Amino acid sequence: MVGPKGPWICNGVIRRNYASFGNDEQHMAQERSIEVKVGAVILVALTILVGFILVMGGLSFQPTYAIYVDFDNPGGLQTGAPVRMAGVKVGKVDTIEFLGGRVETKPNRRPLVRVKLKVEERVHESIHDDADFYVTTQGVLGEQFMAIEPGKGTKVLAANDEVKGIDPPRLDLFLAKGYDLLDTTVNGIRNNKELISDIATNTAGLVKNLNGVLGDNRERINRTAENLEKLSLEAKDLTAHARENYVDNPKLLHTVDNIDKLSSDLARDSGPMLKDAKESLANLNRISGAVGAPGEEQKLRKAISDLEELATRANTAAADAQSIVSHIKKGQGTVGALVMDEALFDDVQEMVRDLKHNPWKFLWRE
Amino acid sequence: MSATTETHPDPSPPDASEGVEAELGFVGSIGAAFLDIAVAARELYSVFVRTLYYVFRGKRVKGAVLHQMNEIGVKSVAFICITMGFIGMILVYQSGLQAKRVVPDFTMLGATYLELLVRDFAASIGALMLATRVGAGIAAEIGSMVVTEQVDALRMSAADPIDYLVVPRFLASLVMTLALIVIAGTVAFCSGAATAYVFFDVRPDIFFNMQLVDVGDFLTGFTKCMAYGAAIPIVSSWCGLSTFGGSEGVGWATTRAVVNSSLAIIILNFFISAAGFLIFPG
Repeated sequence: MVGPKGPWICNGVIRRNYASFGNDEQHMAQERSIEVKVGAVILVALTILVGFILVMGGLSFQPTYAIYVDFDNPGGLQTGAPVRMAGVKVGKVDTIEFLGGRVETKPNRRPLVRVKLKVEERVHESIHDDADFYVTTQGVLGEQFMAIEPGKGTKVLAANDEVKGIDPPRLDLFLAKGYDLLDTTVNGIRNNKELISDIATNTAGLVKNLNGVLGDNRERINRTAENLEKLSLEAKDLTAHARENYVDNPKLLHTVDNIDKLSSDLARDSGPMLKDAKESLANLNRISGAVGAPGEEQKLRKAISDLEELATRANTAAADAQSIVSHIKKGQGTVGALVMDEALFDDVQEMVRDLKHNPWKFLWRE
Repeated sequence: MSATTETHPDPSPPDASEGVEAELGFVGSIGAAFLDIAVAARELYSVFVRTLYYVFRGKRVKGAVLHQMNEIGVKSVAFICITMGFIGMILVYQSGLQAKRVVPDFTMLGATYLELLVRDFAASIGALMLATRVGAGIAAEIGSMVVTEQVDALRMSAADPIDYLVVPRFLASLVMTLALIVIAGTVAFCSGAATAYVFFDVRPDIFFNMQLVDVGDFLTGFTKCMAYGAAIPIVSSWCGLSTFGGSEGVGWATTRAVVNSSLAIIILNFFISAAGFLIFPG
């Protein structure tokens, strides 16, 4: 019953082979069909597995370029996290390197962490040199990703450029510091209860007194306020007036313009004028040189003394003439009466008119 | 010759066990249970070590592994795809309903589902399904050989039944469990994506989000596939080899194979998950 060899009992195929009483062709076909089936299952599984690994490894057929972003604390950002611009995935975080502030990546910049981004080439033109890089979260579960605000600069950010990222807000730090502050405040209040109570009492008293003082002097304060208001109004008017007269006034401006013009004219003419004066002085000098001879000087003196005498005579003649004129003015003397007496003038006028009308009177007397 | 057939974890028939417990008393029965477990663990270990030994040193019969691959793998494809497809739908529908109560945001539904699937569900649920079908089959086949004394005949011929019976099943299971779980996981994900689209209006391209799956998840899932693929044939073969007492014994062996394989899967899941979380935190 039991066969001498293992295969008989351990292998169903061979057992079935016994059942088929040596139909070799059928057996071979069956064997081949099993192989094909097993191979197909394994192949399908392998394809899925390899595809999955490739997709998990961030397989992308888009060409990419690198951007280095420096952070002091990039929060919970992890390698492989997506890089999004305006919400669209445009790359991924390639590496996160801890520099520890030892390397100076740019002058005066020693970041703790450097993040290398792989950004798809198709968005290269959209990321400008003033772009912002920051870490933020998506969804309720808080998947962290790198966001790019493309910026509006004139230059495009080049490949392998190093930029400074905006550190995410540290809620934990905020809470820790807030807690510390609150703790200090609570402790301060708790340990200085009496002092605070005193301060409160004193403040209340002070306010009360102030209130009393204000109440008692209400009228005076109102008056002071009114006066102040008037004063300010007057000051305003004054200022406006002064401005009108002395700042905005066209007359003043004219004056200033004239002075300006004068000074410019003076500046312009002073050269020729000085030249003329120089020439005149030179001429004078020559004249005085000519006059300075001893004979000429004598003549000149003589002439001057003649002139003086002449002037004195003329003076006397003028005085005589003046006294004559005053006599005439007073109507004294014949000429005076003729000039100053209006009745005489009227008579003469009448006589002339009469003679005009009656020329015969020249010849004939009535 | 070996402990597998001479000592049994539960040597007395079910109706006699109450009498044994009455004789031993409470403390004695606890001790007996522990001894049984210790003996079972030692036998299981023995089968495992000998299987590993024969994997490298045994005589391979041509076509044996291929035949077992067909039996374990190819014939399980339809079964496991159908069960995992439905389980995928149920998981997404239920988790979607729960998520809807908290926040009506389904953008990360696919990502979390995929992470769970890769890390745990595909391997564990798929292996449990396989254990019911493959484990029962192995135990019944080997058990019936034991009760018809074919295994004794093998030993008489100086051939270790582990080498002839367990190793082909072990190798076939190792490869096919991984393949089946990969296919089943894909089916579960696709059915989940369809459910999300129909019930929660989540488009498949949003649902297929690999963001939360990392190398740790992948390695944990892969390790689980390997461990379950090894555990199912070892535990089932051990149950089959320790069969006794005719066709009823074969029935018992089948039941024990399914129960113990499932138990092994769940215990292994616990330890591998713990190790995964320790090695790949976050």
